[in-house]
Amino acid sequence: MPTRYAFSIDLDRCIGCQACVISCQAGNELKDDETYIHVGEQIRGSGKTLWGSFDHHRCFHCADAPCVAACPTGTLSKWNGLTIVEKEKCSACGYCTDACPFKVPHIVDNHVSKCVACLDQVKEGQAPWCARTCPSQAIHFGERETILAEARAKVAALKARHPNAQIYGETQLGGLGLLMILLDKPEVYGLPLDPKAPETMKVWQSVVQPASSGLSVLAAGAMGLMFVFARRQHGKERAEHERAAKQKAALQTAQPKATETHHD
Amino acid sequence: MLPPGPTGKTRADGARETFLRGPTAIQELIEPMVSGKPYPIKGLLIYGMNIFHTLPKQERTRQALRNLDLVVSIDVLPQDHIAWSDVVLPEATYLERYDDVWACAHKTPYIALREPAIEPLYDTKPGWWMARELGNRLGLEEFFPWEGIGQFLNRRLSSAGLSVETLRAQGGIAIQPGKPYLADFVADNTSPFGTPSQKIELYSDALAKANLAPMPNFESTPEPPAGFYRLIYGRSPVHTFGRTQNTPVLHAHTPENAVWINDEEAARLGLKDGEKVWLENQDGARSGPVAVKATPRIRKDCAYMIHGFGHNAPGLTRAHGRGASDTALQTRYVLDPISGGAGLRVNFVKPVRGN
Repeated sequence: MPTRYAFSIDLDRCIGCQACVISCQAGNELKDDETYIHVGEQIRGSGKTLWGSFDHHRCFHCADAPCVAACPTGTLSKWNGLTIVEKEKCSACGYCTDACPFKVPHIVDNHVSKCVACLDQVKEGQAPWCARTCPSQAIHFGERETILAEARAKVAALKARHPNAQIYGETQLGGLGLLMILLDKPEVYGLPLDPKAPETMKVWQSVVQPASSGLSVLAAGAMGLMFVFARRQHGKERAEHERAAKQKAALQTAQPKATETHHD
Repeated sequence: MLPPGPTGKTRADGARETFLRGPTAIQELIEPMVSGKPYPIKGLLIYGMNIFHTLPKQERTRQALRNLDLVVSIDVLPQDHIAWSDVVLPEATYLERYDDVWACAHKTPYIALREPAIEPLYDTKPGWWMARELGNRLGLEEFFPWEGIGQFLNRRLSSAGLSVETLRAQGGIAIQPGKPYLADFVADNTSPFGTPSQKIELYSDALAKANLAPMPNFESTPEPPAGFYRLIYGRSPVHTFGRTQNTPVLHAHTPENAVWINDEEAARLGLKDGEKVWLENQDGARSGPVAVKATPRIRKDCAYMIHGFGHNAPGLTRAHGRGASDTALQTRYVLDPISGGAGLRVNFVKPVRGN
């Protein structure tokens, strides 16, 4: 039986330092403004009721990955539980950006941009850059069974402080390849309780893909329609991504730290 | 008390006389540079420090720089003060030079070798080379009894039974088991505390003997005037002090800082989240423009910003003019009477719209 790998992110340990974001960029030699990981913050209440947590927006490596099902070129595929990327195959059609229920992949410089699971590192027996870099050991990587057992133990220990603490991703979409240890309910983090591929995906999978092998007139027509639809959706996604990037630039997240005399 | 200095003379920064310990920053040298008292100061060598992002009272710093006969700056970047220098000595970056060994005590003690990964890309030299060449030309050969950095490092490492070669062979780092717990000391009947009682002292006889408060006294600081917020500052985990704002990948991540204002206060002032404002302090000093971050994460009487932004250095092509500088808004400070450390959170700012 092949290995099934998974990540876990423990939001109780995350200190929001962004080291994973930067090491991911550096390790994968991304352009300065391309990132596979976004670390933001969730804040509610005020004064004595103030509650906060960092959150991570990045690929969940779904077992039944809608992006893989949607990808017409084989750029996205599954490998030992991870959703891997062969960029050179990408035609930048943008179907994956519409298919992902978490709105993770986007198109940068005419290729798909999302976590590549540091495949070159993993194949050499190393953990991905984010897990190796995290200074608070909030990010773990390994065999999914082990990662899941660790996450369960952590959640059990968290319950006293955070009664709603839970693992996100144990069963969704066939079980996610990134388990998120949440301090509160998924909706607090804007995570869907039951993430699903969009309805249009069913048309794609039941009609277009099977038919496209024979390339009937119907299939060709349907593909044309799908293309128009996906491009429109993709345009929306791109606008959403740009808006999020602007918002990120405006809201600088940082932890105030007590430092006194060492000041340069 | 500190031992007397090599000359036995009064030090202009007040170390040993005004303060029990030496000041931890050079801010106390600025007024002597301006006034010439207690003795004239003619030259300043600035190494790896951006004085306009370190010292409060920037106007006095500018005055001091005008008074000096010689200002020499050693840096890897064209920082804010470079334009004020008579001589600039460009240093090789840390990836292009040897440095002194890095020895760290604490939980996991280690000794690390700091070696170049590449030859310098440009016409730059490492700091140790500059120090030795300058020292030898100034007749200070006795302080540089070594030929090259290898000889210097080998002598340093020999006390730990290591050499550059052996340390390099073990990956460039020698790690030793630490003694992080008190029990580690109790076992061999020693103490980690350098106090007469060998314990943590809340009441210090040493301070009492020096006629200083043996117990810390709380002294309240002034409250913000009406319409102003206490300016507090801190660090971003992404940036290191004032020196990484121009680094491409870090600049892309956090290109500028924001001024945190309590969300209810911002609403009361009609300030929108993300809106750009100028900050003006109690003495009329200004910095900005800077985006407002309206957040419940801060008290209503404070304004917070990440330190190190608001560079005024066109050579820092990315960081120049981005965000606000907390240092530019620090026109006052108070001193800790024991250490001479500067307390900078005694300045107050208000957001101002327009140009």
